[in-house]
Amino acid sequence: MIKRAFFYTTRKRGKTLILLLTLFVISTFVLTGLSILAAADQSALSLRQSVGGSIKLERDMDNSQNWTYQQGIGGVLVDYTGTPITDADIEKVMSVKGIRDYNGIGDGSVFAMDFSFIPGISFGQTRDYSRLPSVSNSEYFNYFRRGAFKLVEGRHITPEDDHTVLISTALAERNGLKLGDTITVQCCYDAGGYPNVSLKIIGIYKSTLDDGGFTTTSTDKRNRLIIDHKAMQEIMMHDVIQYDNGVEFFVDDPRDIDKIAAQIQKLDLDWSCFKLTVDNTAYEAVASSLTAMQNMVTGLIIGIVIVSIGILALILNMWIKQRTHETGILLSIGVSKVKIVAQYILETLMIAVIAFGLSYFSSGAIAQGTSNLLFSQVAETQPIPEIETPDDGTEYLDIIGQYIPYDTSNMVAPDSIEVHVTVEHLLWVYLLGIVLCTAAVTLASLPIVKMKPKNILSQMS
Amino acid sequence: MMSILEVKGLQYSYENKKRVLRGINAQMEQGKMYAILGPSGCGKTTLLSLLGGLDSPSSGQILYQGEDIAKTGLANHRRSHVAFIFQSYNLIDYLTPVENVALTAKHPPLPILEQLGLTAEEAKRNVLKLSGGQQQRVAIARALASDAQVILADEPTGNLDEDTAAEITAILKESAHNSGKCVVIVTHSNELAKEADIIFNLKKGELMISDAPDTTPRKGRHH
Repeated sequence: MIKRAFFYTTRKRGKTLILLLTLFVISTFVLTGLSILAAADQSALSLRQSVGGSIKLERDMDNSQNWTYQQGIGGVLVDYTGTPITDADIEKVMSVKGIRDYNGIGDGSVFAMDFSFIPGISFGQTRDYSRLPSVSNSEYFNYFRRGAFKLVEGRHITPEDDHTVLISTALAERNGLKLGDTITVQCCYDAGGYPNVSLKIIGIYKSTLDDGGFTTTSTDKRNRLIIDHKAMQEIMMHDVIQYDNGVEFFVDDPRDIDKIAAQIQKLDLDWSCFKLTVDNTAYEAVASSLTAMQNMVTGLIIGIVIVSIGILALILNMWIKQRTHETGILLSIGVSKVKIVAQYILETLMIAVIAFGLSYFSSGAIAQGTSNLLFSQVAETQPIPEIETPDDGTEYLDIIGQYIPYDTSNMVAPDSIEVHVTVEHLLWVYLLGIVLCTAAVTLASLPIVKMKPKNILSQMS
Repeated sequence: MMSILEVKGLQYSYENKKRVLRGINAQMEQGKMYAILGPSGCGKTTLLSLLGGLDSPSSGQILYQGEDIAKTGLANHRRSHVAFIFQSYNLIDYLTPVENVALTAKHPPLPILEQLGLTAEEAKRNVLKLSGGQQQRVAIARALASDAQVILADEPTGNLDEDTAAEITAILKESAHNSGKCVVIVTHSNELAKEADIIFNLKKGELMISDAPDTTPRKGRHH
């Protein structure tokens, strides 16, 4: 059987060549399509990851049971006494699959002790101070994540940092500060008795926001000092690190954010004191263009595969029908039907193996060009996403309650992507191709092998 | 001698219900050449197909060495007991004579082909490049190489010139007499039938032994 299959393919060169070319062209298209689809998926994932999505775990301020009211001199003292968010809580949430990183945010207000803030509009004789956040990872802090601040010198704050600070270019210029210098601050709360705390400048950022000139010293974003939690703990004289403004958890893929939030909700946390807020705004803004891009490529692949199956089935059907005579002869000398069909399958697979292998090189040559053509067309029809400031007051992301706008310039699917035809794609083509060829040859052979040998032989004569 | 092939009450109807064989009985032995004579369309080829297990009868039995081939399996019967020789040779066109013979061979193909008059060079050529007589020799070699005890030949000389037909007939006769095969030839040629040891006449669906070919002239045909 193997010998016969070998002799047929090597001696019926014209037919072998036609089938080889057909399979080669089809597998080139399929392999190209698969590689573009994989690259498009990767590109979509990269875009989703770059726009990101976060789930914020924060104290539930709306639950009155978390507040303690106390009658004091001149009025009622109100204090939040609910369960604080601890590092153990963060660890639990980080164990949920799909969460990449986190950023806890603390809150404080300080006087500048050995430097000065950029002065804003003053409503009294109070000394200039500024609100400041403490962060675990400044890279994930909203200002940086949304492109409102860009680090121009130095590095970001990480959880290991101790008494470090990021300052704005404007503040650095005003005070002649540079990387490695230290500044001293002190908590400005009324209680008093707070220590002077020295902070080492490890990064300088540039603010792209226009504050419109109507700012106080505290609300001017150029005065925003971004510090680590250990520094905040000393400034505010806390026993432990406090995440007053909650902890943001960043997901690997914002498409899965609702599932991940549901998983977090199942964790053993004090949900009477905590609440979760999902921020998927950026992803939702780009989702439609991503879907359009992927739908187009997927549709193209499905089209190629269907047309390929049709052409292949037609050719193999004709191919097998032409061999009715041979089938009759083989049946008349007692070769079993299974062996006859197996021979035809083997012949097709021998040709297919070569055609698929060759298509690895041809698809590698055309995949990038085809992809560029496709994606440039997608890019033409794709608008830059617009994320408008919510007008319902639900999204106050700055520690002083101001909305931080998104920089949307990078939130578009690329007009070209890097496409690589990989061995994995080739293996898929081999797997699908072998299954398809086997099925097509078997189906085409069935009507012939179902015939009685006598009927085949009478057809032959 | 015990018959190698026995036919009992064999009946066959086409799909259109036309009955072509009406209760045929016959016995065939090894070492003899049989000819089945009859006009076109009388059911000769159908009978040969039934003897070779290419089709099943409507009723009746075909016994090979006393065993019903319907029970032992038609594919097994074709593979082990019988070998066909056709008028149109029916060789696989992408194989050489040696490879065609090797399809069924239980013996080395080349000596058999050489015995039947093909040179070693011809035996390795494409079969379609051989003459009709040479192709039929290849078909006979394929039948002989199979070790099948029954050779069923359907108009084996139908496409050959007189001299080549005589040579092929001689080979078939020799296969019966010297190699002990049971050779059954279906033909409408009286010349070929005359060479057989036993002649059957198939008429109106019935098989009758005849000492000599039926030479009665038929309307529109001459044999």
